[in-house]
Order: sequence, then structure tokens, then C-alpha cells
Amino acid sequence: MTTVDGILYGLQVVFTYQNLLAALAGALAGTMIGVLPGIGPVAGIAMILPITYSLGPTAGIIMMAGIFYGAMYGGSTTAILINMPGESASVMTCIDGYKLTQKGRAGAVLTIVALGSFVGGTVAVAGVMLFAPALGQFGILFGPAEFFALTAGGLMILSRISGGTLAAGLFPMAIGIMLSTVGQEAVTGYNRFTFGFNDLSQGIELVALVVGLYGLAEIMLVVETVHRRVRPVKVGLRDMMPTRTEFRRSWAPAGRGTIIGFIFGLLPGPAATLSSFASYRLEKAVSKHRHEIGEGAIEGVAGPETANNAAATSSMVPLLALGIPFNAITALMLAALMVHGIQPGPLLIPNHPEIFWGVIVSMYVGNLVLLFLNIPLIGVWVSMLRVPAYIFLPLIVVLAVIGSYSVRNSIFDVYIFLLVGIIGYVLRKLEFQLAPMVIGMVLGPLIEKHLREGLFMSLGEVSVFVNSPIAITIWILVLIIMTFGIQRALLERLFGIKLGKVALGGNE
Amino acid sequence: MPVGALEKRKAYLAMGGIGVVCAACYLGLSLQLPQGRLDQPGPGVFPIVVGVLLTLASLVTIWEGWQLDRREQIAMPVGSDLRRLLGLIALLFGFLIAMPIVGYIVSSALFCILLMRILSDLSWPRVLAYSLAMCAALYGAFVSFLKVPMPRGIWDFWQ
Repeated sequence: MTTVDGILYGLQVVFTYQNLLAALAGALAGTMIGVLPGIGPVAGIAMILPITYSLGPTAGIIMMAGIFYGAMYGGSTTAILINMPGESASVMTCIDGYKLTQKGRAGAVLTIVALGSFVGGTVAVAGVMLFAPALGQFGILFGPAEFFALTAGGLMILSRISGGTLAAGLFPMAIGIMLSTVGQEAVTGYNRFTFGFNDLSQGIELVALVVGLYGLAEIMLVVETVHRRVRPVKVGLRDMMPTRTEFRRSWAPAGRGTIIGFIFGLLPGPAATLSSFASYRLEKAVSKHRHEIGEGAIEGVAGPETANNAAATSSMVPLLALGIPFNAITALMLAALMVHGIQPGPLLIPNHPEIFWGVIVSMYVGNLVLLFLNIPLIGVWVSMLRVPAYIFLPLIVVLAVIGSYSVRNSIFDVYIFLLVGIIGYVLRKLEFQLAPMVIGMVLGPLIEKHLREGLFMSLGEVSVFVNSPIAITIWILVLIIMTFGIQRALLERLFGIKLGKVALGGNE
Repeated sequence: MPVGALEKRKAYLAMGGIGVVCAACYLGLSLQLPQGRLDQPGPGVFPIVVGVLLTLASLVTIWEGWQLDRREQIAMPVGSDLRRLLGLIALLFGFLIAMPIVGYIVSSALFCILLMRILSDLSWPRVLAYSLAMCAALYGAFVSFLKVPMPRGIWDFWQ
């Protein structure tokens, strides 16, 4: 199928009542999730996961993709208006966005963000469309050893570059993989670590784990600081028009942000967050108005916001082409597809073109929806920010309980939600990363499958995992990244070479 | 606003210690699973690899904690912030214990009423009105419309 055929096919898939509604509902729900504190895109997607099970796989993934990029936009609204990032990818937007709000330019900044997000998202979709099939073709050459290296090695790289220290990523990742081994084992049906509980034989429910880890833990943090919220300024439709100078100063950062975002999205790690940090630093280095950045410059908003939307979109490439999720949200999408009996991987595009091309075209549609609805709807989003915490916090907690319960109608899952929520709160206080735990939990069974397949097919020859050039390359890369701290210390001690540190959102 | 502090070093050492204990128990249980042969790996092979990984990760946590400066602190809630947080956790425990007994409707309404009271200084009638309206909306959306079979508890006889 050529690209043009694919787009035409995708149009056919998306322009059905159910799929269009899924794209629209996803984009709007995502924006709302991004705006409301106490619920980020990961917990939001996890909570709607049970609803997507009742939709078809195409509508389900279209809705989840809509929530993902909708949340990127919504997160920036709170960052700009009340100096509070709705999700981590909007941290950099707070700096210049809020200063511009204090100067009375909130409306114009929100318009620039909407336009930048549209440009970043749309250009990145084109990249996904061209890049994913090629990567999928390459992926067909992979056997169990290569997939084992890609899943296990990719997870280790992700845990290292997710932010913070080595332990901050590695420890939650190990816990995530450990939790994935609970329950009936796929090959022989043997019950592992169930301690006689029937509820555990189906494994630990991903929705309960993710809603607890991201949703409840975040709510606990919001409850702590609930009396310190800033009230948003009023933004009228008349204030939404940027000046000609603001437009002129925004297009180059948006262009650079798109390229940075797209590249970061292809790599393991929190791509949207890292790309916004990288874009901000780039603007500080190359922009004509770099001396104003940090004091309220439009470049400090246009670049990072475009980058995070582009990264959110391009992070779909590893998922759609190889079946490997590189962040918590794509891990949830993978889980949702697997529930429908679809195994994402190199064969997804030839075997399920309706999913691939449906998602691609829905992203174009979703970005357009966001552009045309969010600017006129800005008043609605601002009024949501005015909803008192004593209303939205009980609402979100009860919603989270319903979400955790509804997947298997199990009260046990709700207890898991509470327990994991408390653990998540403690881990966040200690600055541990939560994404490696979720991705570890999703990838654990796949890693085990590739490990056992590799051993089985090679008649027990362990060296099969390092025999192919692709697997060797991945493992060398893993070794270099995991031992980077030791390498830096050795270089400094033996040769006196000091490597500079570049901080990107807690990462070096 | 008063903020308490916890020594980060101690927290890392404790977390690593808990990890080592968990890893030891997990490895012990893994060794009791059928291991199979290398060309026919059994269900116990992968958990052993994971147990070793968890042990290493826990040891790295302890090592990092050991290296940390004693002056590094983690901000912890105190006073009214802590009371609100503990209130939320206690209410959640109560909600989840009560749900299978008195059913979702009663337990969620009680939870909302009490949490709203903790988070605001609204009068009881307003708290009651907001909470009941919220619970009715959620019930309508999820139980009546989406047909999520939430627990009915002692009201199970009422169809």
C-alpha cells in the first residue's frame, strides 16, 4: 500500500461515526485532563482504558492518541495561566508563559501555543506516516534475540534516561517487571506468586496499578498543597489575537521545536518532557531574543510547546512499527491493543492497516479539532481551573475507584489501587521515576516471551542473544548508557577530562 | 506554610533495604518454581533473572543512599497539610472497606461528604448538596448508562 493509498484508506476508516467521535472525545477529554490538576495523561488514559475495551481496537487507540496530544495542549494552559504545569512536559512553559500572562499577554500566548501544537503535531504525523512503515519493514528481520535486546535493553536505557539517578529508574523498573510475573504464566499456565488468591491468578491489573501510581499519588500531592492554588486570570476571546511581532518571533522556534520533538519521540524516555527542555535550551542558545528568554519571551513558549506535541506524536513510531512502547502512555496503548488480541510489531501495518492508517488520519483530524475548538473554548478551560479543589478532588478519586474496579469487577483491584497509590506517593517524594515501573510491567511478559523463544529455538544456546549484529549493537549501546557515570569518573580521574553536564529536566 | 523534612539518605537506605528483603523473598519463591531445561525453559527461569535484577537495583539504591550528603532533605507535609493527607488516606481505606458491605452508592456518598468537609470550610448543608449531586451524576453515568456493576452490598436484594 502506497502512502497515498494509505491516507485514502485511513480517511475511509476515520470518517465513520464511531471513530470520528472517538477522535473528538479523546482530544477534548485530553485537554480537560491536561487542565485539571490531580490527573495527568497517564492516569487519564488508564481510567478510560476499560471504556476503550468496549470500543473496537481502532476507535480505542484513536481515542487514546487523542487524549495524549490533547493533554499536551491542556497542560500548557495551566502552566501559562496559573504557573502550574498540568503535566511534566509543560514545566518549561511555566517560566516564560506565566511571565507573559503577568504582562497581560495570556490570550495571545495560548493562541501561539495552539498554533504551535497544531504545527508540531501535524508535521510529526507526516513523519510517523513516512518513517513507521520503513522501520516496520526493517523490524521484520528481527528474531527473538533482537526483540529481546530491544525490549530488555530499551527498558534499561529508558530507566537510565528517565531522569534522576541510576537507582531512581532501575529500582522502579525492577519492581514493575517483578509485578508482571505475578499470575498465570502464559506458556504452561502455571500459577506464580499468587499465594492462593484467585484474584491474583489473572495477574495484577494494569489499570489499577497505573491509576494508583499516577492518579492517586498525584491527588495525594495536590491534597497536601490544596490551599496554595493561584486563581487564573480571565481571558476573553478579544485577548486571543497575537500581535504581528509575536507571530514573527514564533515561527522559527516552532520549526526548531518540531524537529527536536520528532527526533526525541523516536528515542526511549519521557520524550515530550525531554524535548521541551531541549527546545528551551536551544532557544536560549540560538534565538535572536535569547536574552529575553526567562523574562517572558514568546520563543520560550512556542519552541517547547511545539516540541512536546511533536514528540508525543512521533513516540507512536516505535509502538506502531516495532510494538515497543518507549513511554508510559504508549505502554498503555500496547496493553489495550493486546486486550483486543492484536500484537503490535512489524506485522501490524501489513496485517492491520486499518489501525495504522486510522490512527495516522485521526491524528490529523484530532489536531484540527484541537485548533478549531480550543481557541474558542478557552473560556471553558479557564473556568475549569476555577472549579474548587473540594469539588474536583472527590470526583476524581471516585472516578479512579470506578475505573480500577470496572475492568474485572474486582474489589481486589481497588485495594491494589490504594496500595500502589501510597507506594507511588512515597516513590515520588523520593524522586524515583514511575514510568519505568509501568513500562516494566507491560514489557515484562514480552521480555519473558522473547527470552524463552530464543532459548527454545537455539536449543538452549545462551549465546544466541548476542550473536546477531543488531542485538550486539543494542547491547553495546545499553552498556555505554548504563555505565556513563563510571566512564565520566574514569575520564576525570585518569586523564583529567571533565565532561560538561547538561541538565534536561533532571536528566544529564 | 510549615514544611517538614526527611533525610534523603535515610530514605534511600530504607528503600534499598526493603528492596533487598523483597528480592530475597522473591528469589526464594522463584527457586521453588519448575525451572525446566535451557532448551525447554520452565516458568521459574525468568523470575530468577528478575530477582537478580531487583537485588542489583536495591543494592544500587543503598549505594546511592550511602553516597548522599546528610544535608539533602525531602520536603514532607506537616500540620494541616499532613492532617489533610492522612484524612484522605483514612477516608479511602474506609471507603474501600465499606464498599462491599454497604454498597457503592452509600460508601461513595459518605466518602465525598467527608472528603469535601476536610478540604473546605463549607457548611454541612452545602457539603451534603454538592456531594449527593456529584454521586448521583457519577451513578447515572457509570452504573445506569455504562452498566458498570458496582458492588451493591447489603442492598443486593433490591433490583
